[in-house]
Amino acid sequence: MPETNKRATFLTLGVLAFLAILPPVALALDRPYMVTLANRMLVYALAAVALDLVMGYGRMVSFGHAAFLGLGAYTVGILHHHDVMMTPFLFGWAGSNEALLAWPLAMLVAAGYALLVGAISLRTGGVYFIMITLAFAQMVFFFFVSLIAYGGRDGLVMFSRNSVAGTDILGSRVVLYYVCLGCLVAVLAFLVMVVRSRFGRIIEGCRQNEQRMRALGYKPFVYKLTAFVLSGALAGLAGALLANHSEFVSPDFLSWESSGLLMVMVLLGGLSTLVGPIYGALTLFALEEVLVAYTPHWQLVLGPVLILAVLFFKGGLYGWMTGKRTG
Amino acid sequence: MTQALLRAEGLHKSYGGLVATRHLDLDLHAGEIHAMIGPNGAGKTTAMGQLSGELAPDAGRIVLDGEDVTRLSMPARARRGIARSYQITAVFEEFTVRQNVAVAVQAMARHHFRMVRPARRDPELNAGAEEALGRVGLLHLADEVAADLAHGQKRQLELAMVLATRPRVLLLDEPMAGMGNAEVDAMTRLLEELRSHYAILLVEHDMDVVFRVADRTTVLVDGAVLASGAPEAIRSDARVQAAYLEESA
Amino acid sequence: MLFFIEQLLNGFQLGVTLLLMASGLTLIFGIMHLINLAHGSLFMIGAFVGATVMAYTGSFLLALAGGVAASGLVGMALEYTVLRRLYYREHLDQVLATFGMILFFNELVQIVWGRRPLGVDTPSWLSFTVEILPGVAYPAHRLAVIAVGLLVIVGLFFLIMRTRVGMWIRAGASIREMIGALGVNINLLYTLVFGLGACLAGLAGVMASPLMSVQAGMGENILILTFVVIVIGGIGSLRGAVVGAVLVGVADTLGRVYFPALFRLWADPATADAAGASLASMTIYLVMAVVLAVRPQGLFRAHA
Repeated sequence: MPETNKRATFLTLGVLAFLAILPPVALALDRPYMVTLANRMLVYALAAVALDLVMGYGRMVSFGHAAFLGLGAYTVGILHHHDVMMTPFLFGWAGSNEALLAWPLAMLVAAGYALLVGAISLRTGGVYFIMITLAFAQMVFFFFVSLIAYGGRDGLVMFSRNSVAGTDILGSRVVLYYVCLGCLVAVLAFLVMVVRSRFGRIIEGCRQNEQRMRALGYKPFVYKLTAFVLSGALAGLAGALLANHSEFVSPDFLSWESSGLLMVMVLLGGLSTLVGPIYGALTLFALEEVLVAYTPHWQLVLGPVLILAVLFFKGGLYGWMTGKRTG
Repeated sequence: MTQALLRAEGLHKSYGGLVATRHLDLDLHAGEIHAMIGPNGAGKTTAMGQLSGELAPDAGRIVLDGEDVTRLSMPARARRGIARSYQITAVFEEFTVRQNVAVAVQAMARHHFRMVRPARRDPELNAGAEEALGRVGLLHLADEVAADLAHGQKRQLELAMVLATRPRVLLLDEPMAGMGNAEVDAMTRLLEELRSHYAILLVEHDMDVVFRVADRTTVLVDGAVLASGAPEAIRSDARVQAAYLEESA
Repeated sequence: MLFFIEQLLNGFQLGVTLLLMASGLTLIFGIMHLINLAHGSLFMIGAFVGATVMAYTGSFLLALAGGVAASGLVGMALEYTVLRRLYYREHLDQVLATFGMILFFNELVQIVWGRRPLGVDTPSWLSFTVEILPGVAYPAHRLAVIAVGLLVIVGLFFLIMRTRVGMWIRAGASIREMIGALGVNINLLYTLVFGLGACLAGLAGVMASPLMSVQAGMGENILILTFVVIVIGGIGSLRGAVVGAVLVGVADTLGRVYFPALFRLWADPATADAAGASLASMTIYLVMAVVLAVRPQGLFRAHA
């Protein structure tokens, strides 16, 4: 459970304040690309926070969360595509470019797939769960590669960002940034409540001793599946934001590397902390930005960093900064 | 005699060629402590597992208060009032003592999908948890993390969790295992207090405890009932002495 | 019909590659309880080193020896430096550390060998066809892959089930302490077991290299297919791995051939080929979903 000690609260507010003042500062320094970079980070942080709910609190090691992200992105992208092309999508409906419609749909689609994957994979556990979630994510990857009508391997270009209640306020990069930040803060606050609630306690209880939970009268499957679907839906929201950020959707969003990197963000930042994954995402993107300046082969460095982090840096950045070992 | 609260008829379970319980009949009445003893490997824990729903019997049936529960899962049986403790202590190591019991209280209180209000300040859960902790004498440790407890305290905690689910039947698998003399004494007295409120099936190795608290004793050997009756009768039963008591003496 | 038999054999041959991978992964998981994502990297290393030796010497046998040795040595080095520290950690840690290794090796091979895929020629002494059935000529090299793979698997079964070393290995899986007391050097044993698994991956890599393009990331495609094999077969079951490997190999190969043909019935050839090929990639996952829906533990799970 996220600790409510002062240092942790201070750090959380600190990172959120930093993210809040980033756009004006970056623009003042004449570095607009910083806003773009940070926006991308926000979106992945949102997905990583969602992943922490299942991975950190429930120890459901999902190696396929990028699929939910990608499904969310494709939902937005495909609806946009039909809207712009004025071609019928389903039952004569010509899609939509409206965020208030497309984003909830993106969450719904991701949640639906999470329900399917979870219902099959949560009947087993441990290493099996890792392999099955990975395989099902790969299936969606190939599904979108095969959809030639939506660009196949090359992906689908969006001609504009979504409209919000008919207005094109998302056309502004800075507005989009703050919308993403708002979503991240809202999701973070919501999940902090969830893990502290009765429901959250059940999830943590299942992680610690599933047999005990069953003996007390709980059916772990139901609660784990609910958490998994919730996490999938939030990753789908991240996908909807990612589509707007990139103005492009691509099968690469759902690749197994993306799923792996989401897990890396959670681990680097601090497992079972919810705030930690934001630090993790920040660090990973910053590391990439710095290393790429020196070498295109930045993952040659990232790989060993990751191994060392697993071996010697158990609490993640959040644990290190708050002086706590969590998870 | 009143009708049995929990009754097992012809429970049979084998693993490959090894028979764990052999057409076992067993009954348990409200207000009694029924001790189940027997040498290691006699099938006591396997019998417990079948009663609680963790293991499915190959044959036989289990009736709780007139309802056939043989095909019900462990959670379903738990919600009907069958609670169990484990030979190897099963508590939530990362939770505090209070949280451990609160989870048990919540199992019967429902509202599992309540996602907003913090459980830590939930008066319903905390009151129930503190009441159960008071009964086992662990209230003073309510804010300790379970992992930091001594072995005997963990066993007490597990009993508090079992009680907090408001069960009718208690299946206690060696609740005194690994306890010191004073703790055994306290636990024994607690069991005597609990007797009138529950139907208790007690697996126990400590013969002094068994003869002190049990109303009836069943001796299991090789998965089958060797003898069953009042403790005094069991103590003087020649077959039991041959099969079990002498071996353990 | 003849074409079908040929494709079926192609499916078997992919199945054998997957079986070599799956048995290595299962061996390592069964004994050290380690989930090793870098197994795909060991496959890739075998393929790259094999391709290089082949290019310099022209000898496929030397390529085989070089690739297997390279994978084995790299595997043992990884075990010695990193992985043995993870045997008692949770699967999550193992996944992340070995994911780090994947990133590292995929970049490393791009630095050493460049980004262009390497092609490997079929060894000349195997570039003939065998008439396996009247009218069905099949490349000898592919037959050799099937034969060698099966031989190795049989040898592995024999090693685990019949020999003293196998007995140690099986005992080590359950009672580590007793082995320590008996004076067997358990750490060395674990390193050797890991090395054996790595050699199997390397062997699979070299043997498959003439049939696929040798490039960074090739290991993960195979790794994920191998996971599907294990999931279908049931974890820890060698029998399940055999059935799963054949099933996945055949389903994937036949899907690749027949889906585009099916699609051509209503789409233009280019679209049909592209869409059909991708849908074929989905076939095995659908097979997996069906198997899991019916049997959540896979077809032959060894133990619950």
